[in-house]
Amino acid sequence: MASPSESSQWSTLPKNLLKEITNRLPKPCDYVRFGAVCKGWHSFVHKSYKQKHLLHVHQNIPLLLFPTQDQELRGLYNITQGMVYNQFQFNLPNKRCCGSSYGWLFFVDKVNKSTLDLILINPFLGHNKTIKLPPIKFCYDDTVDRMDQYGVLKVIFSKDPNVFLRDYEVVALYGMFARLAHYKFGDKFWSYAKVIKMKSLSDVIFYKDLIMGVDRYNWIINFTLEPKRSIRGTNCSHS
Amino acid sequence: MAEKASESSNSISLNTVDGKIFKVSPTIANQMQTIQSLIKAYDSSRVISLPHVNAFHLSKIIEYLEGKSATTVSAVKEFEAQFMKDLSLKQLKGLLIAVGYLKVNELLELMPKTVAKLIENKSVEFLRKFFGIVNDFTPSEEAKIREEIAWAFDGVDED
Repeated sequence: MASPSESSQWSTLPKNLLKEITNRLPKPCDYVRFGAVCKGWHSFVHKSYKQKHLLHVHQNIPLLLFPTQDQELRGLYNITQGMVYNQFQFNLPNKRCCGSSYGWLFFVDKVNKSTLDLILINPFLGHNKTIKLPPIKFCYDDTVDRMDQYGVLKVIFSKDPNVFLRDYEVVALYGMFARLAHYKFGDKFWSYAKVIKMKSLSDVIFYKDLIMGVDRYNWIINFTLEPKRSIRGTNCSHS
Repeated sequence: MAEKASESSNSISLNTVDGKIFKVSPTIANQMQTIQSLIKAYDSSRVISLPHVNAFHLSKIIEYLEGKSATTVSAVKEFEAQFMKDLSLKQLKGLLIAVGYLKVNELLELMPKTVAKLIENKSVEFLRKFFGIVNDFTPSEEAKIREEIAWAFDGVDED
């Protein structure tokens, strides 16, 4: 390896070459770290188009992921501005994304007869940044042969796991009856709400420490976590 | 034979900063955009001086342009990989600057890609050590930057 005196001019590389290099950094986090190396690189990164866009991206949700000609790469589209971010392409599993929350994307990783594995990826942090959750178990009367990567209707975080490392929860609606499952950081298993057939859920949100769901008849249901890992659903719509 | 002669008479002379003269074919010369525009602007029989390029860097660029004309895609890939491997970090930087000046498009693709690969997933401390860059931030400046971009510091390779 070169000694500092020989190669320190890397910090004063012409801007056009810094641009050529940083344009080829695949992940935004690599790009941002690059800017933390020295003043020269910092001022380049700070003035650059891509940094501005990165901050802009962070402040401009919702964003749409869309497929590109390369099967493995997805592009990013800003809905409110009607523009495509050419600077960012994400290398993601060639699977259906079944939910997103705080910049994290949820994919169904593996499905077998009785369980379903979710994988959580934050493309802004690079594709090494993943979270694996315990498998979700199917309910006995879910028709397993109809389960596939479309088996999850929705899945969301209560808080950004990148900020609240040990204090986040996840809820998922899955299976034929859109059953609700809940996971809290540190748990070894998911907790499941009782299935109410014909009243399957169509949506769920975290709202001020509450888990609120809507069923197919537009009833609002408040889910509370009870001891012994059970989840109780209370109908809170006025009839 | 006749063809060869006409090619050599068409050849373009390039004078590097350290006074070495290279004769290259128009095919090679035209792949350096800066030289291509100089040929168009001036009489091509004249020797073109390159005040920002030394003989080592020019010989490397010519070696690349001649070598990458291999027949198969995999042979080109192999050649490119070996070409990059043979360069020290110091040579890589010097050559990158020369390539940027001469605008050799293919090397302007390959070389930054190689450097980007070196940077990917690496910690800030590793990058400083690797590229021999002195940390010129004050401790409070560095703390502020790290706080702003804390999200980017997870998941780096072990140094």
